Amino acid sequence: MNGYFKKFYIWCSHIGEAVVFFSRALKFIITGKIRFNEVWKQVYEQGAQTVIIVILTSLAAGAVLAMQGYVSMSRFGAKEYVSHLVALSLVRELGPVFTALIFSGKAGAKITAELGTMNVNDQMTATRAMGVDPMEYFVVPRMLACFLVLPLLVIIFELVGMFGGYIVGVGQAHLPGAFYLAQTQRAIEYVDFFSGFIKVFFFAVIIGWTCCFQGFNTKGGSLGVGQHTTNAVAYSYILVIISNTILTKLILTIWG
Amino acid sequence: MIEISGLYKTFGSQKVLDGISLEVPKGEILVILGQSGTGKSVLLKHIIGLLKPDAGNVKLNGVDVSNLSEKALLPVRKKIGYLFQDGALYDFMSVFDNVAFPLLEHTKFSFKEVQNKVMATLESLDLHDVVVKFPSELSGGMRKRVALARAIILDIEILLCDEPTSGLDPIRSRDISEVIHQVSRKLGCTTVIASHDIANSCRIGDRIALLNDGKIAALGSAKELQASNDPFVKEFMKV
Repeated sequence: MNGYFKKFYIWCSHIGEAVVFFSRALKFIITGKIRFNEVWKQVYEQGAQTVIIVILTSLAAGAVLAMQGYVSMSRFGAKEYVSHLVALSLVRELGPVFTALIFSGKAGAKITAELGTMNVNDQMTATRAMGVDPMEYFVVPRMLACFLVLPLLVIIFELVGMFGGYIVGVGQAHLPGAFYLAQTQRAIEYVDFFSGFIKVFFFAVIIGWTCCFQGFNTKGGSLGVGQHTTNAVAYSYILVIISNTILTKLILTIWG
Repeated sequence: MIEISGLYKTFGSQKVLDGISLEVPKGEILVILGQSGTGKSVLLKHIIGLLKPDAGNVKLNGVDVSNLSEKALLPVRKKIGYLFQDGALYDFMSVFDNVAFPLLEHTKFSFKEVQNKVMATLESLDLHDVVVKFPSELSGGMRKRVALARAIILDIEILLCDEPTSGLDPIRSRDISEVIHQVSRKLGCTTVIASHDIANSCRIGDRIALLNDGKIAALGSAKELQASNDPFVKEFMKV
């Protein structure tokens, strides 16, 4: 029992540290202490690093959705609704969630590994010793970049995914191209797009926060860097999945 | 001037600093000698406020830095140069960018002025041919010199060096020690060096503090320590 209590105590103190960490970062942002040069650098790095894998995944996801949709909908003689299935699935769920998971595995892991390596090599301490707050210099730009990059990647994911669906819809289901596009346009309403897109901002905060926190608190040399990077990705995945369930329920309750 | 009084620090159950009191007058080079793990680096980190003491205080030019907040410490640290054991250079920046970093952060110099100052400092440390290289492309000795260049690029009043000769061969060790000596004299800054390199410490230190079990076992000039009858001091200086 004592052991469980101790573990619970440690877990609670980690949560507390993470909250303090986030509030410190938020304070910098609210007070306008933002290094825009560093933010753009991070936007470029995080975006450039993830965009190819996002395009590949979304193209495949859209194509597979259309293939499966075509098979099942043909049974009911409703193959012309394949575009609806692809578009709504991508916009409401798959786009935000898939992109967030890819982003945390790629850019999130990079953030943690970078910050962690700087930590174990004394570069963070050196920054403090030179009179610069590492939170302001390293963490805030990375967190802000997550917030800017992830929504853009989601839009790319959704557009490319729909293109993947279009290829299958036109090539395999023999639907006319113009008809497929018109159906897609008709399928998505503003509420569909925003009910999915609003979740992206939550995911961006979760990933930026989790990965920066893990990197900033890395200890224990190269082993520690590996461990914290793995933790960062695992925690981000879990938090994205859990928050997605809660947010979806909330959004469906509010918007339907 | 650095004044340390009654400094205590423990990590878990391990007592690292056990009531250290020291005064380092302006312009002096003090070497803290001691075996590995005796708290030399911990003492340096207290001077710059990277660690908080359990008890006691550190005053820099009359200002008690031991209880200052991280925010209040940032401007104080602009006047302190810290040479880390492994250099702690940013591995994603070139030598030029590393050395220019404190200037870009704390001065309003134009890029031309920054460039001139960086080049002059690198030139003075015989590093003019590594300007565009990255830390991973440098030898251990060069990395230390680049780190020293970064530490002294601002008009510092205090220079702290953590094991500046560790991992270097005897010739490079002597070179970097000489460079630190010259730089300290040229800038007129108060210098504290944590080291276990007895020969070079005796060569450049105005005074030497010998640390043992978290306490100062002996304090004096190299000659005074070499002439000491204390068994521990004798044994240590003989090594």
